[in-house]
Amino acid sequence: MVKLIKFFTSLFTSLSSLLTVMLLVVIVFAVIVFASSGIDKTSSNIKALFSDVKSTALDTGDETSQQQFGRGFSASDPQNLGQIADPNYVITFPKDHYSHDSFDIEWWYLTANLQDDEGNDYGLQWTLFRFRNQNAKLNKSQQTKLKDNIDDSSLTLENRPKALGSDWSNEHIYMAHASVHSASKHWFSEKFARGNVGNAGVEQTPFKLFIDDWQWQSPTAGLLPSNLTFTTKLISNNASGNSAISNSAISNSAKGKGENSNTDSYLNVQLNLSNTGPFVLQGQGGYSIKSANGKHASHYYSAPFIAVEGTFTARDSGKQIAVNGNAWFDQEWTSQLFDQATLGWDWLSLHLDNGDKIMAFQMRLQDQADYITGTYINADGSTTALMPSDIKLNANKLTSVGNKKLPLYWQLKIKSKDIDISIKATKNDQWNPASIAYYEGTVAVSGTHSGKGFLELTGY
Amino acid sequence: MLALKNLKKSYTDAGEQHTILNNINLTINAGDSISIQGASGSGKSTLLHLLAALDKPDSGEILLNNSQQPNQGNDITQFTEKEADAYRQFRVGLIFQKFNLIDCITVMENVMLPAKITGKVQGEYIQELLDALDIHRHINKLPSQLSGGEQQRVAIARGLSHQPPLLLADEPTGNLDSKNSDLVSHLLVTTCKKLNTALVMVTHSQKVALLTQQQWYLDDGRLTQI
Amino acid sequence: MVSLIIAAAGLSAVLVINSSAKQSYSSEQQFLVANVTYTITSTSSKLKLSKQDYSALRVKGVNQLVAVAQTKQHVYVNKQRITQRRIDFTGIDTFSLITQPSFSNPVPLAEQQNATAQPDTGTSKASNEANQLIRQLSFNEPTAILHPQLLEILEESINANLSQQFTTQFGEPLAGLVAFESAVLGNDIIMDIAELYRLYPDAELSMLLVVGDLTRAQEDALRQFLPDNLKLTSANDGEQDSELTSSFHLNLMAMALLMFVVCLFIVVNAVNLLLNSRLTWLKICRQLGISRQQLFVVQLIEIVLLTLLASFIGVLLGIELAKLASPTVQATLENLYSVEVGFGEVSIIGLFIQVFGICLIGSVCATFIPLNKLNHQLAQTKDVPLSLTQQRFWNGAIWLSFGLFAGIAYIILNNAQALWLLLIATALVILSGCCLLLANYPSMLAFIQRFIPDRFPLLQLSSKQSLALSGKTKIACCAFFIAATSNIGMNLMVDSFRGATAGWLEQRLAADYYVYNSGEPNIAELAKNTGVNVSQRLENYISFQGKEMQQFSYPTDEFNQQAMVFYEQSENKNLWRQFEQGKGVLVNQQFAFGFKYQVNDVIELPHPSTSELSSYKILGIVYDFGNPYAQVLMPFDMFELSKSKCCIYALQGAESKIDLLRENMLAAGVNPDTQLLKTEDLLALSMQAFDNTFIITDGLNVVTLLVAALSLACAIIVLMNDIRPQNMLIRSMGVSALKTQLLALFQYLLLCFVALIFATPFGILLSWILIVDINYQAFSWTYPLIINPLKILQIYATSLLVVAIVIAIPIVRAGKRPLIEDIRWLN
Repeated sequence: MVKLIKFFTSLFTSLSSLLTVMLLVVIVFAVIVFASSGIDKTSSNIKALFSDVKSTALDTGDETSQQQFGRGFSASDPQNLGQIADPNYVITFPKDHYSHDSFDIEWWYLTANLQDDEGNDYGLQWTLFRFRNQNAKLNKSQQTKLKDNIDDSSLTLENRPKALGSDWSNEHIYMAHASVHSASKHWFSEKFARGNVGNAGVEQTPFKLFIDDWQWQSPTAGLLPSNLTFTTKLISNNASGNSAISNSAISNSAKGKGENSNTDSYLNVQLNLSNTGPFVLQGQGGYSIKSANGKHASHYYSAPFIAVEGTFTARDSGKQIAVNGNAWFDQEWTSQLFDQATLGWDWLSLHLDNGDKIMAFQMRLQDQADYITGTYINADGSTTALMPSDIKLNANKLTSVGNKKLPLYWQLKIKSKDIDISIKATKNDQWNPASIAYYEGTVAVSGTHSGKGFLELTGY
Repeated sequence: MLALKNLKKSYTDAGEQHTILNNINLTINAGDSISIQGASGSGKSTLLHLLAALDKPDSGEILLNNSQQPNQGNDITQFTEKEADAYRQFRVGLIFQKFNLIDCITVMENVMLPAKITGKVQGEYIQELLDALDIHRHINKLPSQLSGGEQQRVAIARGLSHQPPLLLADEPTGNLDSKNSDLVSHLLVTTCKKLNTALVMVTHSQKVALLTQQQWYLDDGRLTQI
Repeated sequence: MVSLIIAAAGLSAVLVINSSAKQSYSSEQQFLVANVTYTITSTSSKLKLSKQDYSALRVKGVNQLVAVAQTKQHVYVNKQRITQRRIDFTGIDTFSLITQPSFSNPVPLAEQQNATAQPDTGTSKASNEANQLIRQLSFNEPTAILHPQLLEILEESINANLSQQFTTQFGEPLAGLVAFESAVLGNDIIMDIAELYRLYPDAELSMLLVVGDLTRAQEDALRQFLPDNLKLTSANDGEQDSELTSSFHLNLMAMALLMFVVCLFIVVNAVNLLLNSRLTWLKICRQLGISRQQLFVVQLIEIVLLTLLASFIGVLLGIELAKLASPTVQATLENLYSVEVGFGEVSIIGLFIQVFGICLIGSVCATFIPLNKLNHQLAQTKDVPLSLTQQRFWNGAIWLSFGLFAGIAYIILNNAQALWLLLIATALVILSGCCLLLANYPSMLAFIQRFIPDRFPLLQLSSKQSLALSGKTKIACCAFFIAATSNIGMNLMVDSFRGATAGWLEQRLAADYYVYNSGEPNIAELAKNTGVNVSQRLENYISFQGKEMQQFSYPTDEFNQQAMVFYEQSENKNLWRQFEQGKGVLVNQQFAFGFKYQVNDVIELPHPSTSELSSYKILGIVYDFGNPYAQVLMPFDMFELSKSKCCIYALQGAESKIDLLRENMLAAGVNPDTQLLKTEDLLALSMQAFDNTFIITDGLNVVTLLVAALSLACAIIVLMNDIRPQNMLIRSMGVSALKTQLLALFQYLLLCFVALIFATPFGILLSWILIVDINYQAFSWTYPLIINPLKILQIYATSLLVVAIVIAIPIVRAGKRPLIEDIRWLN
């Protein structure tokens, strides 16, 4: 028995030694055989650099937002400033619906107070922003050429000079926000795109604003009538609209790796917009001064008489809601709104029940008094420009929303028009948690006049 | 045949010098049968090694006399390695206390090896050797198949197969029991005598030493004849 | 100790390289972001993926797309190139990326308060950092991200005294480089896509990533939106990847195991020597009454402590080694597998634990064999030679093993197709060879002894000692046998491959010159008035049975008919007429073996110009070495220039006419120096590339030989004391030291020679298996085996030389010892 064990032990020892050596050489073969295959294939060379990135809340408390009016962009570079607003410039349509590329910033801004057949109220905002990226590398001659093309209105978008060197894009960046509020829900989405890639921009004839599949499409060169279609994602769903919600599907999907984010609630919006009144040039013939020293100014016009009819369709269920109401459209272009002095602004657009409209704008500046301007628009479209002495706009109190204190209650007085109204946000949390976050939401008007409108708060 | 003159050999141990051979003089003629006794560590093996040109003395000579030129001799202590190898190959046979045989070849092959190396293979002589040592029955066996005594007898045959004039044996019976010791030592002496081969045998056994013609005693570095 | 350190260093170096390769490779699957589910790439090399494709899809509502562009470029400083290898510049559309749900999700203000109240500290810092980086890529000053080690490598080239900048070849400053430690970053610089195109306008849009899951409806809609030149591939499909993955992982594992086994080998021998040198001391300990168990425990503890220390030193050395070797290894792996290999993240503690663990297991296991032997020696058990019965038993066992291994190998080779089974069969073949060798050593040696004349008694003795040695050095002899077999097998395989390739190339490259030019201008147009005869190869990529394959044109003139090299062809005498008429096609081995078709089978293929499916007969199977694609050849007339791509042109004409074409090419902006190749030059280039590829093979062959020789040398050292008495005896008979050494060398070389004789047929068999079975299964092509006797003799000479050099060392060392020392020691 012992001998047998000894025999097997020594057999095993020898065999295992042999096998070890065997393994050595067979592995050598494997290496050589596969090494000599010379596979000639191209495959992607992409790295999962960003696999380290976990989904996270876009923290409005992060560094970049604490700069003067937290934009991810640096404030206007005085060395590389775009075209300055000209008080003598005459705004004409349809030409000036288009993009003014030599200016640093431009937006096409729609806000709408809507209701459905059951009387439920909705607030809707759709904005396309254009930024001229001052950091885009242009050589000197290109910059000069851009500056020189101030009033070359005959230039179509295609003919406008493009940035050199980059076959991918030009120096313009597009950002779009779409926000819809119901009493308990908030849908919000943000998009970014570069100019000249082909998925964002402004088209001339027919007039079109687009970023991916968000489109403002007019059948003519004019702004209105038009169709607006976009899709936006549900980000908040609670009854009160101002308290914390459970970390349920939404937070999970926010962090979701492997989550099927496409089955989250999406809202398809389709609106028909038609103009029921004239365009309104803000300020002096569209030249709008925002500060006492006149250094902050823009070209600004509004279309406050827009009738809206459309549908909201929940993408998951297909459920449709017909909506209608009033909308207010702004287009503004400037290179002088954001500088080191800009702290932010508060903006109101109000549709009074008597058919009149009010636009009020308070610019908050570093080391300067707040500058308030506005426009009173009669139902027939005639306007009165309001200077600081004509209009009083005060925030009554601050409301805590999340970790911020926001002025959601305002008092507006226009003595000359016998206006003394209270303006109150219809819902506390109407914050747009975008990369550049701000407040944009519906308000209710009461006092000497009643009505609805929109409140925008930036720089908080 | 071999004349040892004033051989001196010492070694150093822990800084101290010990003289192991002190003015050794000895003459070995053809056919002589000499035994060297002494206590353990007295230098007997050292002397044998000097005779085999395996080692060199500190001073002195070991003259190898050519029979044709009896008055002139080669001093083997001055041999180069090549000369020493040639000397051992042709003129000396060596027997050790143990490890005398190569395990992987037969008895016959062991015995024949030195003869084949020197080219002096004489069948009759070898046969005579085998008979004298009574190992002819074992010629096809491997050394591991023999007893200690048988192995030593084969070693003697191997040591003599190339007909050396001188056979040096270092404690050839050291590893054997008394019965085999008697047998082997007897055979060693008689075979050498028969073949007229000079024998110098180192032993610690007086009984074995008495078998030889001359008995010498090595003590304190000095060689004295008993 | 040194061997343990080498083992630990080698192992840790390989583990570091392995892990960084694996990290990079596995992360391949994730692309740039988590949750990439599909990729959109071009199907046609003529109609590539474009910006217009991208924007069109986005406008249609496919918002989950992120465009990726790539280019390989060198980095320059002051117009001097500072990089050895081109860096992979990757541009991603960060504007799309930052709005993807997996990147960020807008959270209502009210909820943000709760989030800040319970901060997720684990992720916030890293993700904030990455967020910032991405924003930097998008909006701020042009920025590029790279691994800190790559930045270090680049910065080494900058002279600190002068203010210098990294630039492109044309002096355009590169974006500000930001280091970001990530395991998946290797030889890469990542930036926003706009910046990439600004720096390198020739960059290509390589793919569109689809981020996030698609519902069935969305997937269908997307497929409908896709134009013909684009295809949607699931990221998990990995049609190429599975082959790549298994091959790559096999290689990584193989390398790690190889290193481990080699080290194990070294450790076994080292421990053997260690114990051997202390045998006397250990015996004294036994005499003093210390038990064997106690001695073993002490020895094991010593080994463990040595391993600990060696692992510690080895890990540090290994990391440095990996850093040193990293660029070369990266380049090699990337070239072999088209896989990006990153710098990887090294956890020293983790690595140490791994290395220590493996080395510990290895060294403890490796200690058992010598301890076992020591056991015998300490127990004073005499090495009794085996009785006849026992010998017969062992012999029978060995023959039985031989039969078993050979039988199983035969069955597997004839029936199995899985690669891993074939490799096992290869191993079994070699094992059976070992058994055959062991069983036949005595008879073979006895046979050789007969040829040694009597007048060389020492040689005869030496050969007999060789036989005795063969029993004591079984393992070392088997190791040598395996090394020799692998050498012969590999060399014959490579030789056959080389011969086949050279012959095939010489016949196929029948024209005088070749031009490679993708796109405009068409070389045939340029050659119109020069009198040069131009044949274009028109190329399509089509889908057959779900796999992409090549559909190439082939001219049918007499000249090109002669140039074709068939593996198998139809016996039909009108083969070429049928081909010309479009009734039949020629396919390559990859097609035939991959899809399991034979000559005269009928297949359905789309017409090269109309894309209509038609039936075609397979008229012949042609050789196409090294092509990973299946390929079908159809007559040139069936193709349309507008629908197919043309990159390669074959030119025939006198030198003067070629010169005219050269001028036309220059005028058209095509560089003839790099794109117009003379056939002889092309052949030379090809064979050089071939030889370079197999340098690694040659290296590995030498390594295996060295390891075997090392093993033999260690065996000799261990046996030194055993054979000392015999050597002493022979020396005492007047044989010179040099002769004794030469005889010792002869003994071992004789063993090796016998091993070589047995290795020869097994090597040839191995070669055959590799060519006909393994190569066939792995790559679907094969070539004829050419047995070159000269090559085999060369291997004999090389092997024996390597062994002789290695084993000469201990033999010469032993021989230098004076004989008197041996005699005193033994007696």
